[in-house]
Amino acid sequence: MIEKGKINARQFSILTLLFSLGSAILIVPSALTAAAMQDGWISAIVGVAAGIPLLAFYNALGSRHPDLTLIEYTERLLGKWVGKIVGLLFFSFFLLLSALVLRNVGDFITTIVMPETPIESVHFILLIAIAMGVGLGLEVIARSAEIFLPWVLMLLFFLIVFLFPQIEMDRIQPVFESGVKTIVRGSLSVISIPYLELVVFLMIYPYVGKPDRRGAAMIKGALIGGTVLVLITMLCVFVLGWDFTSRHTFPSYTLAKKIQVGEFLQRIEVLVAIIWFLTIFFKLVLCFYASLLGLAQLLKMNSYRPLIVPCAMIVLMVSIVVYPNIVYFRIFASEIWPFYALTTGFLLPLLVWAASLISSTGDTASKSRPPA
Amino acid sequence: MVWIVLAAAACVVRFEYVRLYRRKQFKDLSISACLLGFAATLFILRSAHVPIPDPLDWIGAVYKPASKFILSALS
Repeated sequence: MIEKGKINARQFSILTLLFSLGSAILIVPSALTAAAMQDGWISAIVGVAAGIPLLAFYNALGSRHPDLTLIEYTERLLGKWVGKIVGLLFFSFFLLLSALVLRNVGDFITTIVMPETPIESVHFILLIAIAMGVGLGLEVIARSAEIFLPWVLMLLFFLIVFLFPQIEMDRIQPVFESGVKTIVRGSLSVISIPYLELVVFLMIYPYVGKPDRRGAAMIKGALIGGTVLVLITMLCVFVLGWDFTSRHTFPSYTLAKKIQVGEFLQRIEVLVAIIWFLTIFFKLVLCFYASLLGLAQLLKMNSYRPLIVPCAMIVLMVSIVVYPNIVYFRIFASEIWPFYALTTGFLLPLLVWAASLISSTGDTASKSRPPA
Repeated sequence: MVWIVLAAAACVVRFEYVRLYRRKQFKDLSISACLLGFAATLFILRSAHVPIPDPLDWIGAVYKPASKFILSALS
């Protein structure tokens, strides 16, 4: 086994929570309101409700093979060649996801915080931290997530509580104006941006102690993350209004600018930036870690560590060329990404699950020879 | 940018690969070296202003028909 570390169920659910907040918390409100207008918050609730059965499915798949990662049992169940091809599809999804998430950070910093800094240098500095984290291994990542969780929760609490005075209820009226179809269309963005990407967690599933508590831990983390997403979307609609939210690429940052308590507590929008950096760091570390581990297992290497710098360089290059401009990103994220994520996050795991049912070997026999 | 990246690659060759070579892990060494060479080539090409293909264009080309069909059914 390449990774020797073990994490516990609590750390697993913290990682799920941070992963489902990272990048989604800033991007999703805009996509939701652009599709479903003032009913964007209903779309968010629909998306979270659809995400929970998906996680139950991941748990069903992961617990059939409690000692193997997604890429390992894909290869065992589907045979050598098909397994390798499907494994490569998973690997490219994870690597591309890390490049896209990295690009989100770069876009955020260069449009809002430091407009004159070249985007490559932002990516480079963040990638150094990511490479160090991945080099130190899963246990270190999980423990640092435990350390940073209270900060994220505290800042989120401040953000939500201080915005209460700014709420104007009439901004959500008329409720349910857009109809069922539009609400479902809006919910695609919540389903795809945190939930279908949680397929990454099937790569670290076997390293969580106590196999029977894994599924509950993952669903708990994702449910809390989903609740926060719903709350932030509601606040965006209540405070900014749906048209203003949908026009911004990073509406929650603009949302935090509205905080004004008395005359003394204002301009604390950097709190949101801190939440976003912490959560996105863990999302990026996990995606990058999963892609390296997957590649090392596909190619039967002794360790994934020799791959860190080459893959970091590829991620850096992909993250620079990936979007020519921000409009391309918005169209891609709303029209193409849900379907790509649906393929690798649901259809391919469904195929693997079906193969696992047909071979009916379950977890005990899958350790012996592959059936195909 | 290309110089920083190439310097990082040189550090990997100097420290990591020498260690892998001594431990006789030739498989890890060769896979990693291939990827490193590929990545370094990408950066050198970019610094020479050769357009690097965007993988999202390929994904977009694959999923465009399905996306159009489903999104038009939902609007």
